[in-house]
Amino acid sequence: MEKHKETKTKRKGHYPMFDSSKVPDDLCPIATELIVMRTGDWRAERPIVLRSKCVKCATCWAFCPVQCIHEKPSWFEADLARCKGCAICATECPHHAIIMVEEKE
Amino acid sequence: MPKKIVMDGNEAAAWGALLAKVDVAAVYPITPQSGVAETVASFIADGELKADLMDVEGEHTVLSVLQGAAFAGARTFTASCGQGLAFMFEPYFRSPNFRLPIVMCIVCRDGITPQCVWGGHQDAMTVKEAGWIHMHCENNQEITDTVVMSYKIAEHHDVMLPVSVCYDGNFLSFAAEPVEIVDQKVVDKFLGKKNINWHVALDPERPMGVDPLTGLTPLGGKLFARYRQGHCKGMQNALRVITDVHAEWKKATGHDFAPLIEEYRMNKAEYAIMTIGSMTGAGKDAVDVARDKGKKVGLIKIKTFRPFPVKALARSMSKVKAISVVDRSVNYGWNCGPLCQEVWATVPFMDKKIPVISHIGGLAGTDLTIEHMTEAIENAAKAAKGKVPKETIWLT
Repeated sequence: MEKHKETKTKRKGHYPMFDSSKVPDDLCPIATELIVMRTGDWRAERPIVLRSKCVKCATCWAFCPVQCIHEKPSWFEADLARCKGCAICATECPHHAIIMVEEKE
Repeated sequence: MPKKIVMDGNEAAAWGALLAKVDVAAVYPITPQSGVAETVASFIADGELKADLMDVEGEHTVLSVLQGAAFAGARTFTASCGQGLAFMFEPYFRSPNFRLPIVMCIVCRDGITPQCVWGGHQDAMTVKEAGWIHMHCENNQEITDTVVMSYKIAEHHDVMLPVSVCYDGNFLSFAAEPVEIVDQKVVDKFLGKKNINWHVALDPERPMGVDPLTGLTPLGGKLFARYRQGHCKGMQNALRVITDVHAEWKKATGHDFAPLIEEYRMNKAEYAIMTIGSMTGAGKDAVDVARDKGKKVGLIKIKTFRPFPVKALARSMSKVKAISVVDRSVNYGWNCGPLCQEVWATVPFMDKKIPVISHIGGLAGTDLTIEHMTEAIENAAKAAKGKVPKETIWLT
């Protein structure tokens, strides 16, 4: 079998990005433009932290599958731009400090 | 100097890949395709073909490997059929959306169940809407030539789509015929320099994001639709490119194959039969016999099934008063053959309506004989006089 030529590095550090200027914009899905997808838009229910009950045990922070729980001075809170409303935090919270409230348009 | 070698259809397909000098072949054997895998492997082992052969654990991986290879700029080849093609389906409908010019052979095999390992077009017809170009071959010479031409079609910058070269399992895959192998220099000149990953690349020296998340939001939805429209445009461009490439191949080699549809004895024909794949041989013989008896019958062969050559076919069909379509597979939704459904859909593009009769036969490796084709011719003759059968006719 033919031995593959090793890729020679011409430059150190960052390489120039792929030049897509000659590629028609309807040819194939390549990242030529940024489309921001906020997973928070998918949410049907939002988590509300009851600050009086929260003891900062960080169980919600540990269980959040998208890691969107942020630390505040005396409680934890979900980043609603990313939170999909899966309610795992509310289910896992040992102090029942998180309730799910229906999202209204 | 061109040389003539007696070979079966599977070897003919592998010879096409050898002439096109593919860089990567990934294979997983399945009856009746195994001969392609074996022949490509022997070409590589003998040093005739300088390519990487990847014998992977299944068809899903076969096409996934080829996707990566095409991203990296390699000319790629594989073959599959039947249940293997079914297992390949997930990467099968992704490859054309990436606009990767992969070429593969579908060695058409009927769908199971009932258990069967023999020929029939059910596998190719089931994946016809996956966005690949589908071309059906009539004989072994056409297989070799079409595989070579497919690389030129697939890699054309107005097309950039994968091509499936379909040929009948058993009937062509295991039938030995003399095949004229074109001089390598002619093929090299014909195919030119390859430029496969100019639009999307797996290359550490020019990094890029591929396959971003689209859809859902208004902007994302527009982006998704734009790629779909571009894909449809590429398919329509392919009709022109296929025609041009066939003309160029004829000029370079003298081998004359019809690009979209072939007309046989359609001069002054009053009715016609329509065939696809290897059954065309029996169809042409039956037409010859009928012509000898003074019947004004012709034959239309479909070579390019995807994109469907609507305009060319409508023009050709306008010459006759009735058509019998013979299919080697089933369209469950319409109680007819898949080709017949396409022909029915072509009728409104004609100046005047003509009856089209569906025939299904030759399933699971059974022969479509001259007698079957004669029956189809007789049905077309009756329909031309106004007696149109309402149901699909089964040639068994």
